[in-house]
Amino acid sequence: MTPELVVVIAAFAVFACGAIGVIYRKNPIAVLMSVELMINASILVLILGSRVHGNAEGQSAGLLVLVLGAAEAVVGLALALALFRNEAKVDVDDAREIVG
Amino acid sequence: MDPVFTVAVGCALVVISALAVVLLRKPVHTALGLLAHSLSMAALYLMLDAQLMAMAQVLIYSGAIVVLFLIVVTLLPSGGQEQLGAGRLATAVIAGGAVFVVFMAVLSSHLQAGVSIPSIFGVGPSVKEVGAPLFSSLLLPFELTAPLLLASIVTAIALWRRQEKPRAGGLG
Repeated sequence: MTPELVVVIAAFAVFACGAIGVIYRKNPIAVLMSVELMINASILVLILGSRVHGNAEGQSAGLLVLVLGAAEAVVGLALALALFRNEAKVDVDDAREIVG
Repeated sequence: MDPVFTVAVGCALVVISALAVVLLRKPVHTALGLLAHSLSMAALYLMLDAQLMAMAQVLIYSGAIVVLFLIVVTLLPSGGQEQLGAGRLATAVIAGGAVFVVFMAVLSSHLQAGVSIPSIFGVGPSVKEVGAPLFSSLLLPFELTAPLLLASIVTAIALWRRQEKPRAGGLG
């Protein structure tokens, strides 16, 4: 078993963890963090591909995905704060509107 | 030391901290789990000879995004408990397990078809080599990150401002 194979399987496991978190959790912050886990797993695969193919382009793409994750976190956290603004509920499933 | 062992330790840290993010109930603990995940991810990048990405992960991810999460957690109203049932966990584990099984099936079918993942040891690409595609083949996505970030900033401000009560005598 090569180190590269271990990393690929770990990336799969992290992505699956993120998927579990998105379905399992109700707190919007925790759901967002689970999405971040999935983004991190994809960056890991990009970097591994960059190393395996000896091509730096994968790392450049990984940097762009990192920026994408930052933008997603900003919008998601703004939505979560808007959701929490009026009442202290912690359930994304119950949310119907964000304008109070 | 055996490279498989060190990489396996890094991978174990990454997966355990990911599980902590998913399973810990309190938002602060979840955010700290994400911090641990991000730092162990940076360590894994270093093992894969991706020094620039490791630094970017520590500075941007641990330094900015996780701290942003922590700030939002402190802004949240206290109290309130997530009602997470066993049935919900079972559904989530089945769905996540299905994702994992599909990925593993694709990987094993590729490996059986003779596609190998070669091991390349040596010096990773320099910062110059990582940066060069951003100005040639990846120029358009790179330029598009600017309007993306601008749009996310405007969205965050708009979401916040539309709920603000107009102040007497103020502009808003």
